[in-house]
Amino acid sequence: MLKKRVLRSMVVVLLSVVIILGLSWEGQAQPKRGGRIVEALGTEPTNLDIFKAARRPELTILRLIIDPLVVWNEKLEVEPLLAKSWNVSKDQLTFTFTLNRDIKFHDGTPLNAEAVKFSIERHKKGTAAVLLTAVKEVEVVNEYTVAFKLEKPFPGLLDSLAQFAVGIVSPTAVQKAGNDWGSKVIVGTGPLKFKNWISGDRINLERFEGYKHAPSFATNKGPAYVDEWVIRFLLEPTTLIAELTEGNVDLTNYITERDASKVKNHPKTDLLMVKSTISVYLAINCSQKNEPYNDLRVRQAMTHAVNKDVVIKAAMFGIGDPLYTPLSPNIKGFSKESEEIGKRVNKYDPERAKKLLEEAGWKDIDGDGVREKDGKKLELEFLAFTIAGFKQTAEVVIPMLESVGFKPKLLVLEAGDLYQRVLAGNFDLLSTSLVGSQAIALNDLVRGYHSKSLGSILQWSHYNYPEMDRLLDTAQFSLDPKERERALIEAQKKSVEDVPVVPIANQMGFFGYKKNLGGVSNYFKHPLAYSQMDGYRALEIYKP
Amino acid sequence: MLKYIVHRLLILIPVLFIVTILVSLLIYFTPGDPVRVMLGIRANEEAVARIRAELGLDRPVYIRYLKWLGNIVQGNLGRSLQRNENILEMILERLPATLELNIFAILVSLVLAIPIGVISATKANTFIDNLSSFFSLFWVSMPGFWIALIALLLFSMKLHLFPISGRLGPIWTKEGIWSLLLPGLILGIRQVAIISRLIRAGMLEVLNEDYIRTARSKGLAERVVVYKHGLRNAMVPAVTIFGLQVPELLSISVIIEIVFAWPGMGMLLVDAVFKRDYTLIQGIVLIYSLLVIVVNLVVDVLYAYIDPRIKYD
Repeated sequence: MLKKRVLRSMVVVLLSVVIILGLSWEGQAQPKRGGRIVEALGTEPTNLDIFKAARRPELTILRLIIDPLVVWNEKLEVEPLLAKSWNVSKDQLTFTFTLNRDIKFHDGTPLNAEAVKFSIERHKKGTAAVLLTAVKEVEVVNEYTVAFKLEKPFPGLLDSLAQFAVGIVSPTAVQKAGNDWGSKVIVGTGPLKFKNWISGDRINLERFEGYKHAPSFATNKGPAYVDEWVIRFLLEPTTLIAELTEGNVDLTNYITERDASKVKNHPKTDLLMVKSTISVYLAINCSQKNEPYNDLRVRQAMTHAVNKDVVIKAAMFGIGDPLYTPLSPNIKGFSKESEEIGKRVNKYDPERAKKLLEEAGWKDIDGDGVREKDGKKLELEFLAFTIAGFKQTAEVVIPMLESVGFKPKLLVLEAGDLYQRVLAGNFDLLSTSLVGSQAIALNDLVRGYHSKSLGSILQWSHYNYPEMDRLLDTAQFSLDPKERERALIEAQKKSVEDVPVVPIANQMGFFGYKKNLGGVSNYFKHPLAYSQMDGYRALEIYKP
Repeated sequence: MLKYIVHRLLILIPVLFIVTILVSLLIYFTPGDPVRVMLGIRANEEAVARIRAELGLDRPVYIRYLKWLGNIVQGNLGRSLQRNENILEMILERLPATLELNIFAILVSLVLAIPIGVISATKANTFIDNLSSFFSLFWVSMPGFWIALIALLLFSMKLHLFPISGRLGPIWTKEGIWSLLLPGLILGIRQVAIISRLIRAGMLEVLNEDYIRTARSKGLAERVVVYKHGLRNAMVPAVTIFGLQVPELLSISVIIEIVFAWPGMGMLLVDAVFKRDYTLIQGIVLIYSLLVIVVNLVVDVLYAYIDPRIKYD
């Protein structure tokens, strides 16, 4: 009797184990190969010439097709990709890369030192030249070894080379394509290869079977799971959301705060909210020639007058983290010390704002609510892009500035006109963001606050202080890593204390997708999956 | 008649010349640098200067215009500044979609506007006439963008009668027709409203004429009196307005193209304007001007067929 009972119990236990194993096996089913992914973009790219590409729509597609020499892993450390190893000379003036030998371009030509030399030399004359200013020349050592000779030591070279914007392309394809390069021909080593571009409608990409050089953090080592990847251009946000919720589009990054809840709550779709590297702020024209905004007290008053929480609630649908620094906290090298200073310097305190303006000599003499000094009103030419978020931010901020005695005049302009005015310094305040952050604190600071960047768009604030130049030069070129690190922290602190911008929020990124899409969690393992590393969506995502 | 057509085609040349000068001047005075728009946030002085020189934008505007004109005469519309693609090829790629959309809208407007106008006139001041007036006023007053979005949400998303967006194929395919129906109807419906009112007004005037009374007293069927004798005379002002509506149709079709992701020339032109793609803007405007002029010529020729009393000798 006891034996029968024991036997029965053993059978029950065994059966339970088998059932549990069976269920968990089903949950870990292998990703399916094949199928087609349709992705929606909210705008059509201009041209897919990597040497001219500068905007998000172009780069988000090119990152599917082209690889850089090295890549950031999930800890933002540089690791091999097309280059399998490298060494740096003692004087730090030569970086020698050894390439992976078995990687081919989509056109079948081999990745070799000539291809790297060709690509980098073209990049030095293109829109990514700023990443390669320290590179004097590129030398072919042998077929699979290439040396970068520098003008002066530049420890940040590896971070620069990890940017897809300086990706490596097939020289054969570029030369053969002529004027068709970037529109009918794009050849790299990425997980997808370019098939065709139907103007106004879509770009068709297909799996590159030869892709087997995925980085270490990728779950799928290659090739991509899907056969085809179609990118459709849906300019009208309502149409884009409709296609996603109706299941005709599988995924998109082009979702605004307004539509986020719609996608999140729809039974067929899901939404990931991702901390992006985009800082939203009001750039102040603090050029020495621009009175009175060259006065630090006036700039401080401006930032104390703005209530970030209200702006985020009213202009960003409550989605976004309050920001206290010009840089996003999600980028490599961000200084927490600067954030602590920022919380004090950029604190909402309208009474302090009024006091600072009084100290600067701005008083409301005639009682009309607008301050004056030497017969001049405290007027403010406030520019905003036509893009809804920027305009709304400006509209919410205006009464805040008026309440402490400014007289803002809002001008909403489209990009072409706005860039012209900003470059000429014909403005006082600009509602904008650091779109196109390279996710490296040092690079973003150099582009935004070094005097050598004056004349470029990202120097919105016309900021020109020799002390900042000194700090950034040390942070870039010092041979002592500790000195570089300290200089970078000091530069970030200075960028906060000098108030060249009124920080508002760290923008959230939205990734909307069909609920049953596979591989999304693997794709988002990398902290920069929403921005610089978005090319790896091609590798990880699959159709169930 | 042939002499008249040849004469009108010859006038085309100076008209197009003036249009291109006006467009070039307009572009010249519009603020914004195409190179800075192209490079976006990566623009720096060196890159801007180099690309401006590469694209020939550092030359005086009249030199650039004359060079462009010289190319036009040889049938070469040049290359897009932003895309570096052959402009004629870009236009030819998009032209079929624009023509499909607009021609379909015109056919819809004629097929619906004529009977609606005639019925409103023959049943003037009745419930049917008042209903037709109400809908005409409604379609003319409502912004096209709003109507397009509502139609998309109702007929595509809610009722699943039509695809949401995109041109699923050329017009001779089943998918192509199905994807054209909704955007084409929305584009045409405003024309229905305008043209039907004109036909109604024309018919009301004509139906009181003596020859109509004579036709009725001769015992002709009412249908023959209205359509064969009445409508023909009422059509002339409607045809005139129709010809003048074509530019408006082309401009409204831009909105329809954006909402329904219809890959036509309208979207291409808007994109070119935002990106200050001077050469592409000039090329598209030239083609649009040509289309409008040719359509108006066709309209003028149609007069002679509708009303034999009109002669062009």
